[in-house]
Amino acid sequence: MSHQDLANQFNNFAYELITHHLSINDKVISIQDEIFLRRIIFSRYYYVIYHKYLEHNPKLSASTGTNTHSVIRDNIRNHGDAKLKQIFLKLRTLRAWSDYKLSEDPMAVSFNLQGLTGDVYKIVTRININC
Amino acid sequence: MNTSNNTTYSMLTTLSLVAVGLSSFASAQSDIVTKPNYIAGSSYDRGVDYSTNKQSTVDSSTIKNDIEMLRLLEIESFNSELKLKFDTSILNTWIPADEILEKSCLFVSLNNQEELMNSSEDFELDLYLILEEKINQSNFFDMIALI
Repeated sequence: MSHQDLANQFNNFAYELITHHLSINDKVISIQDEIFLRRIIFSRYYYVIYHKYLEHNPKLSASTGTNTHSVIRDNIRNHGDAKLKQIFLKLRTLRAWSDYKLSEDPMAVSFNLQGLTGDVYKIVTRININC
Repeated sequence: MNTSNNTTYSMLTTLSLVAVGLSSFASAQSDIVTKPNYIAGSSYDRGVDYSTNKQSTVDSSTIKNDIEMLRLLEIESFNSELKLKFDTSILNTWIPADEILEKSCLFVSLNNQEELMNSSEDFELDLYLILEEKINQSNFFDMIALI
């Protein structure tokens, strides 16, 4: 499976979770469930951009023993266009919270998921990642 | 001679007392930190506990508090720039990857946010571009985005 396919799959998966989230939103769900759902969405969206980047950087994709996450971060920080930089660094922070900070954080519930969906879509559908 | 010595001693004592009084007043004043609303409830609330008698004047909580203060100053400088450029101010902040990443994205909500978003095709991007130079120089943040 190519990195672009993985990016598309993760994007669809996260989008389905958001759609599911919206459909159950009018029923009362616990804060814990809401946060749990958002952790998965943030993490999947981060990997959408991660795989999208690797699709356009076969050399890094083929390399072994490299900290791919750091290389992508540095490349995007230094060479990415402003929008790519913003979406990637935003997701990198959200993914770090999702995977490593397990305390409850009610602010996560206020985060605008639909805006994020639109942002990720803009990147995943790019012909070239421009970085 | 004796009278003169007594007068000098008395003057010195008075001056010392005034100095002690003034320095106590000054230190009491400097303890009052006016905290902006947007950091209410943040980790800045964790103050340094001076009640215990520690041998060292530098401990981890003091360093932590200093870092919090520097971070607050950076956020305040972003706030000033936003006031100047967009006539708005930071209402709330979220630093989700605090203590995990060496630099992370600062998430903010703003006064008049909806209005600002309607006035631009991509206000979040405008927000970053306005603060890009400050963010490049930041010790704590590598991006700014909306909550």
